[in-house]
Amino acid sequence: MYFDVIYPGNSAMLVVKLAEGESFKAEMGAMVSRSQSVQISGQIDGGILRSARRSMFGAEGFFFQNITANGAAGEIRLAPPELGDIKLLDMREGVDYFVQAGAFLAAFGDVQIDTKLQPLAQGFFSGEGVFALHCTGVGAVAVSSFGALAEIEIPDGEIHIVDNGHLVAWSGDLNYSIVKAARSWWHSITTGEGLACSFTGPGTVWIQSRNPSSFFKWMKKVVARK
Amino acid sequence: MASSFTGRYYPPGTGKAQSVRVGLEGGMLKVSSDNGEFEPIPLSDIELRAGGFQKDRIIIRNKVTGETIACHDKRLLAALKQNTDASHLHNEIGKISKGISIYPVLHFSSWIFALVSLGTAAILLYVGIDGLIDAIADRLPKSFDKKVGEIAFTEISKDERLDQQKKDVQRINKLGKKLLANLDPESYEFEFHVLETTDVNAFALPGGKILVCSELMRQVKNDNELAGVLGHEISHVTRRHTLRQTLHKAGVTASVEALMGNDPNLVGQRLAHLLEIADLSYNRKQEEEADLTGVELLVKSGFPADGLLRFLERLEKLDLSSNNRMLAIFSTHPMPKERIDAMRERLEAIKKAKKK
Ligand SMILES: [Zn+2]
Repeated sequence: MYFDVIYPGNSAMLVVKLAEGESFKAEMGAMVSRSQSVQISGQIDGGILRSARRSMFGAEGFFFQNITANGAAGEIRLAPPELGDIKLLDMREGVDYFVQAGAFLAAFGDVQIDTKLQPLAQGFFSGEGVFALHCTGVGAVAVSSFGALAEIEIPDGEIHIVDNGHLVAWSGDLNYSIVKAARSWWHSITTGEGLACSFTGPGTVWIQSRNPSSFFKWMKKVVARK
Repeated sequence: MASSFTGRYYPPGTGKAQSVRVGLEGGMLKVSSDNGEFEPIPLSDIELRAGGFQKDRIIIRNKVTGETIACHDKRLLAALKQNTDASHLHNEIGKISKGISIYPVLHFSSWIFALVSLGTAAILLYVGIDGLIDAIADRLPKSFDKKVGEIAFTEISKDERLDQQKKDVQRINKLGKKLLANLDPESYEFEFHVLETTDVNAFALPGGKILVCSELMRQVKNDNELAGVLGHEISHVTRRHTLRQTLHKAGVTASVEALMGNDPNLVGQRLAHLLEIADLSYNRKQEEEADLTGVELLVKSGFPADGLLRFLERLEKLDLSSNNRMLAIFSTHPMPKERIDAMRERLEAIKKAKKK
């Protein structure tokens, strides 16, 4: 299997070349183009119990597509809906990542993706989009960003705070808790804005340079003016 | 190496991991990658802590060089224990093992989890998630609301200016007292606070603490309107709307945990934290309930029934674009149009009943 990011920058695309019989997982609806032999089947990952768990705990069902080259080798191009970049996270034995659900694009190799049951204070994010997928195994995970994708290394014991709307992925060794980005309780409770993740190293966080919901709000303002 | 475990190696001062194997030999921590072996680390040089979101991994730091190794494998703790006599390490190993069991629900063995999932799924087929969480809320003792409210209030008062201006506080307490006199004395212990902000809004914490914005107190025309707001907020408490919304946001697991009372302080703390940061707008049904229950309380207490209605009607007529903060009350207490209609209907009914 060969995969690579083409047109990196603000209109990145993922190209995947499959030998006959090879397959991988991708976000629903990400296909741009494909060879005839490449087939896409929708599937809820992990069977009935896990999907029951998912619906119970608020993930609102995270759906994957299985993409397979059937009968002949083939090639497929994938792209996320938003303007932005794509990054391949290298997965090795023992290394794990959390990927913000909206940023997941595809997974290659022997990668398990779990919509991990998260302890309480973080469990309410279904609506906010900071519901994280837990990726383990060996292979690679492709994540997409809105705007540019940047990497922040956090050394052992240091703390770094990231606005929730800018989160893409982070390494599993990081401890994190949800904090208010702005000081006012009143502001966050009436607007639902201003939440951030406080990470404690060691580990790496990948962020996007634009916040989708802030962008949407800005768009609404521009449209309303006309 | 006797036995080795999969881990990540972070060079000093970095956050980028290399995949490594970690083992113990002759009082030394041995770390190796595909590219070869690292300098062995004497166990006397290391410190330990639990890391990761669920405190489910062991973080080993070399105090001398600052390099860090992270490992998932609990067997490493046992191996460390065997290989060292250092009491500070034994202490830390004990702490980490404890830390790992902070979230008991997550550590059910998987078949118990499967049974619970299936059982819960069966219940869900009948009542739905909302029904289940509401049923759980109904079974929680009143002391639970109080605990969550108190923890949240402590946090909130750290960040917010709670107005101590005597006039406002006195005014609100006087009105509140009049209303509470007509409430079941077995109900909650209410407290009224004034929050210094330019928003026009009010909020009810579980267990009876009610926060009214100072600007709302400027904007009400008279005590009757303010009493209308208080009646509405008091009803959110007695009908446990805030607690329910918090549990809904927290999800089924947390609600079950709250019910089973694993550790009321811990669960309460986490709910209070959620209350502090989540968008907990009430739903339409809750708003109408609070409106109508509030109207009943107003009438019982000798206030005109239409205080809240008049206030909301006036706010609703304001130009949306001119001042959003004036309309903040509709962000947490939504559905102005439907609510106003429903309240009008109820008030008509009360009038008719009086005439008879
Ligand atoms: Zn309300």
